[in-house]
Amino acid sequence: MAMVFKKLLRNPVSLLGLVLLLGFVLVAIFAPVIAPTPERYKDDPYRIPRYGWRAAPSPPSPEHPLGLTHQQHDILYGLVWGTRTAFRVGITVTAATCLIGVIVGSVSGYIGGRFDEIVMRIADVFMSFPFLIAAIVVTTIWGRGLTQVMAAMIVFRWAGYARLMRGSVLQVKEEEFIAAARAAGVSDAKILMRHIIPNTIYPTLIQASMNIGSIVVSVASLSFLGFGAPEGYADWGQMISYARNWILGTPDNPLAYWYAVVYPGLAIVLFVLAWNLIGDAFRDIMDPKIQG
Amino acid sequence: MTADKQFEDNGFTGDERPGEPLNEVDREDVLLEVKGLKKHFPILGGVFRRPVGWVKAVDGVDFYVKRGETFGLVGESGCGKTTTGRCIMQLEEPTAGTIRFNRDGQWINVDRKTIAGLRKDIQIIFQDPYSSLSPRMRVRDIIAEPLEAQGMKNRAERYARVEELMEAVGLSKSHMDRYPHEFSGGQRQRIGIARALALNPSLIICDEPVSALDVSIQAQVINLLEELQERYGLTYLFIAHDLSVVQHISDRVAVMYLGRIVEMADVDSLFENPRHPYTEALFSAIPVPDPDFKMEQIILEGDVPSPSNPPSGCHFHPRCRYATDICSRETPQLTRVDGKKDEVGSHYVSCHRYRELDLAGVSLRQGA
Repeated sequence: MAMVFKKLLRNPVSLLGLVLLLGFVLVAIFAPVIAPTPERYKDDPYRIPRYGWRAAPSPPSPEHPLGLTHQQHDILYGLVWGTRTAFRVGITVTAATCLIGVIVGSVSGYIGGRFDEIVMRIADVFMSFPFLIAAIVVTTIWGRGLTQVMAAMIVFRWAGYARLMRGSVLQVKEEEFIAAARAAGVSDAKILMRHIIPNTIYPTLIQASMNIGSIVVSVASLSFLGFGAPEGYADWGQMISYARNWILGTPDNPLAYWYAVVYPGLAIVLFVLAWNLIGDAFRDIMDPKIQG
Repeated sequence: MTADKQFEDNGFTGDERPGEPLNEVDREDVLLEVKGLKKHFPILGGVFRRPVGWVKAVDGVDFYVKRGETFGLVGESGCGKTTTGRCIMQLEEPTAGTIRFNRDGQWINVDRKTIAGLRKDIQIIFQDPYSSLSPRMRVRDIIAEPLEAQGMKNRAERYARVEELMEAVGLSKSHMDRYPHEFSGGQRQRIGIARALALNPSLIICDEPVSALDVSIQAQVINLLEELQERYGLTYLFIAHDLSVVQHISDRVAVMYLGRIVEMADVDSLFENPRHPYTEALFSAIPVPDPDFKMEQIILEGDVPSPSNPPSGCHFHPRCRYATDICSRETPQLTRVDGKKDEVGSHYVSCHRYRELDLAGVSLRQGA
């Protein structure tokens, strides 16, 4: 693992990804320092402070370096605290889907036969729903909110990992060292934990690191559509959503409100880019079966 | 019923009786007996993945292995010899037949339920030293795994045993913390051997243990196996396709063709005086390191038939130059052709015409 990290550092592409990611991590950790919560919002720091009641965004100023978006929400504050939301959503959903996928996929592949057949057909059912529609239905039933959106994503996303995991398990379980472990009387649970999962989990981890970015995009799109974060909550999708009515600017100046669109968009793009670069490099390192 | 009595009942009385079928062998000196072993793999087809056919990888195999001997099982690729070994270890569940193991005079049926208690008695060495060791485990944990699985809870005790085993197979115990990819093929096979030895088994199934190695390394590993056999009183079921290796290491040999045993005999008797046309053809293919040596090469026509659709009668008849009508009609039984009782030298063959044929063998220990 240490070796993998060293290789990530040596590759310029993944280095850029790591630097970007590190930047986001620092922003998330030091959010209270970079964008201190005003006194009147102390009870809920994730609410984006408003500085007025005008609908149209206000341009960057010394007090508000990135400007104020729709209804005078502070862009900098929303982005900084939204980083925390992005990490929370991305990592929670990825960890949960990955964990479910790894367990279901490896058990299903290892047991095989009819059990495997049934589990994979169930996975097919979950994969056959268009994800956004499914998430919209779920949030309609459970109500609006980030937790609901995350739950919906977990429910409809584990199947991909299960598929991937099962594929590699089917391959590895035919290897002779598995037969050797069975001949030695090692229990099935231990064979899975000690032999199968360590030898099959890498493709799934690579997939997961690439997916963190796309999950953040999905949540942003749901927030944009009004199904995700509650009104006023620090979330990048919400910030884009605020910019929706102002994208075209004013009739005489189409770029009048550029800051309301560009900054939140940039945050999302860079975040997704960071994870994808790392995932790509991770895959390249893992591809020629690691030796060393 | 005493073992001896039963033995007599089964037809192994004192005098020579050619034509005796191979019956149950209930003797003290027999360690493993395999009777009517079959393993048929389904060929799945259609939407519902129903079996549309069966690959008869092992199709009625009888043999027995005596305590302390090396029993060679030879045959070409796909004849079912590896599957036979895996069935004994219950890595494949046999379709039919019985496997019995003699633990200190007590016969135990080897099946899915009893195998757990027999892992300390029967172990296996695999063919491919690259695939048989988990790439993400240290050597010490690979060798200690059977110990842990069989209830040796104390870690220090396990590792002490690992050190002992590594030295027994000629590896330096200072290499305990390395990963398999840091070793050569021969060393990796030694690790596999150490793992098989860990539980002090009495029978080791060697599934082509040297066929993946260079010739020079083969000799070292073979010598190691012989040395260990002497030191620990091991019995080997040695599966291989290399006839010279089998000839060198085995006391008795069985020849397999398309899921069945065609001939089984003491090694000298088999090589000097083969009684089955397939064995004869196989021996004529052994390369001899002597440019002046002329021997008739028997070239078998055609390919090995598919085990999913084997020929009728004797499986070998379409390629046999001695085949007659009966060969395609009736399945020959494995029959004792000479030797008394079950002495060394008793020779079993499954051929309708063994009485008439005079087949060529190979002079023993050529060049050795």
